[in-house]
Amino acid sequence: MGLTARFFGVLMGVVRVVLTDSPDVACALGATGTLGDRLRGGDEEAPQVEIETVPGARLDLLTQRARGMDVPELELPAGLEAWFSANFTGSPLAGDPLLVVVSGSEAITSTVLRHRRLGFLASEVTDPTSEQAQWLENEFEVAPLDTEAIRQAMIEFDSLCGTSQVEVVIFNVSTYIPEESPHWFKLGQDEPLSMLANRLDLAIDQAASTTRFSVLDIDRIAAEYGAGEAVESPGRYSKDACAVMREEALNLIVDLPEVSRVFGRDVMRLVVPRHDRRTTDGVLVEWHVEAPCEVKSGDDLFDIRYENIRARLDTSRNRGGRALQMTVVASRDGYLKEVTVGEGKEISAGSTVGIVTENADVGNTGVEGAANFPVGVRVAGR
Amino acid sequence: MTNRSDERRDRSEQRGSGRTLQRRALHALRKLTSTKGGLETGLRSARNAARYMAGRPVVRRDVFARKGGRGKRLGVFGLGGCDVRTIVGAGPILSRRHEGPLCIGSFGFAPESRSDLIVQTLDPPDPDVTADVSKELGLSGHYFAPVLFEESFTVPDQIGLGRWPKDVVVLSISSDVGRTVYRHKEHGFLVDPGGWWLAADMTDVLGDLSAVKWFAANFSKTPRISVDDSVANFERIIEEVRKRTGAYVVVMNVLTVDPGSTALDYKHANSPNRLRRREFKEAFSYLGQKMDFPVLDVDRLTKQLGISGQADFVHYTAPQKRLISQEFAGVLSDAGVVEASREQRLVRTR
Repeated sequence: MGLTARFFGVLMGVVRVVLTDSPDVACALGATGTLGDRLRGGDEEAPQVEIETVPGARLDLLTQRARGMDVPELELPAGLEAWFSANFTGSPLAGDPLLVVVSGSEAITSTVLRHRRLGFLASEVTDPTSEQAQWLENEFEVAPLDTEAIRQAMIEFDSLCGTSQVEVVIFNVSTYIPEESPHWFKLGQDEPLSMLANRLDLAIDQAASTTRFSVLDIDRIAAEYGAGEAVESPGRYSKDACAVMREEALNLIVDLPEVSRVFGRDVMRLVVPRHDRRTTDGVLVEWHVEAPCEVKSGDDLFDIRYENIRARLDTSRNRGGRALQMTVVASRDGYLKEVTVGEGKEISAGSTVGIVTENADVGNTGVEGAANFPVGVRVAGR
Repeated sequence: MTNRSDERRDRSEQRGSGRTLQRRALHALRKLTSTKGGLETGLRSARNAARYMAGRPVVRRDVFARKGGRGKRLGVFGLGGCDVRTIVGAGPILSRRHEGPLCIGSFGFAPESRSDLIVQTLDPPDPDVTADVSKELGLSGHYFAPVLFEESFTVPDQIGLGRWPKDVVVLSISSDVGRTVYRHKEHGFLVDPGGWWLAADMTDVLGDLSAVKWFAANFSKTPRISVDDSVANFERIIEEVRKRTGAYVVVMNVLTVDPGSTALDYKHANSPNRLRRREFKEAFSYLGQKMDFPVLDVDRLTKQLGISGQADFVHYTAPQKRLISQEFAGVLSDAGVVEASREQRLVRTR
């Protein structure tokens, strides 16, 4: 059913993208036209991009909204009707979007309430009247952040997508919290927010490895920039840092397989990923697959060997280095049409070594501007 | 006509210019003779290479020492790789906060400091069995010895510094996060031969492959250490260190992200490093809470300054090292390990 809605949408020349209005997502992708322009890539015949913004929420509450459950019947104090129903409506998956972008930071920046008797979740009420506050006090308790619950919520969100090929991107959160020096906390004290953030990012990473979620590593991006300047408060980043996040988010999104397919880029380049800053130029040691062939998610594709990687960036103290070998692993299914670099040849991070298509029937023309086939890396011997 | 103070000033200036010349000459000599980063480094590398070729142990250490002062002798002993060496940078800061003699030493290197290797030194294998292995792999003389658990330490090659108490012991999780060790097939003991030569092209390193064949015939690779095993090992190590030395223990964590990584989609990579480092950070934060020791949060400090100049997760830039040193000095001051004189306390208060 969902796929059909998308199918007709594409036929009509429109695809839907859903963004939550969380500060980090809004800051990186909220600028009018940015995402749509990048997705269409200047192709006038490409589908129009319709962007819808939904209220951001902690992932367990967002999943409750995606579940589309019936609104419980309760006697509400006056003025809380809209707030109450909003906890069950506004599903980010409604209308079969192509892409949903959510934020993990809501987990440490927002408070979620749980109904004492019925167990459903609700957002906090801003500036309640005394009557409303009393009713809230009687009916609800604070639902503390449970990272295991967040992991389970991601798994449920994934299952709610069903067979629909919706792509979900989640922003994780910077573990650097300004004004907090949390290296040591004693038993009985409150857990520092930075530790909570680390645990949240861990839960997101773990869930992403088994679901359709792709993670935009805000923690790394803020760290690259200098988290001391990039992070204004938990989940809020400086304007300049947002610009860097925007670029990385757009690069990630255009490479997502379903996005590539809908925008007519079903030919993908197999490129050499960069494992870290030391790994620039290396040698393609061995292909583990023989093109043309189908590749499955998790298949080993090829090995790269970096000789004499530097232990430091400071070249004046370059002490020589050691070798590093790593295996590039497919992260999605695809069809390896051809390899363009043979064994024993020199390669560099970002260079193309092969062409991957959706299936055997797709021609391998139009590699120019094609998306990158998603891969992971595994360091040999670890 | 000149008075006595003018004469003193003249003499002082002459001495000063003499010293400047001396410094310049030494600097020029260093530049001329150095191959990679200074005479000292060059000499040390040459000495280590000679020791390695002769099958003798290589001494690796970085030390800050101040012998003067009337108060208590304070010894800080670090065991680990490149990251642990940053603690030596806290020397000048602690000198201003501690009245008595002070020695901060970072010993060993990453291949000696995985927690299971340290635990192994509590019940070391028979020296007759390990002698040949040590010689063949160029392991340091104390590789199988319980150096960490000794009550005091000396600084090799530094005559006159004497013995220092282990008031503080600094450990790091970096070796557990990243190193691989090998088990002797017959006798069961563990070694980490250093990694660099196993990962390098053997024909370049050895000229022939007999050493590799010998290694492969006698050792088998073990899997990466699990977070649970690492935590259990550290619990035992810290208990033993406290029992035998009474030292105050500090553990350093590592940067959790990969600098410059563009592998955005890490799914299905076997135990991605980022995930592993986050798990370690999490587990050791709670171990610190449980066993009452501070975790020096290197992850936070490196991220705070920015990691764009970093080559990898365990080698830090000069500004990052400075910040880590400052934080380390702060941790020791807060813990009351340093003993400031009345004047020093007044300066700090002001």
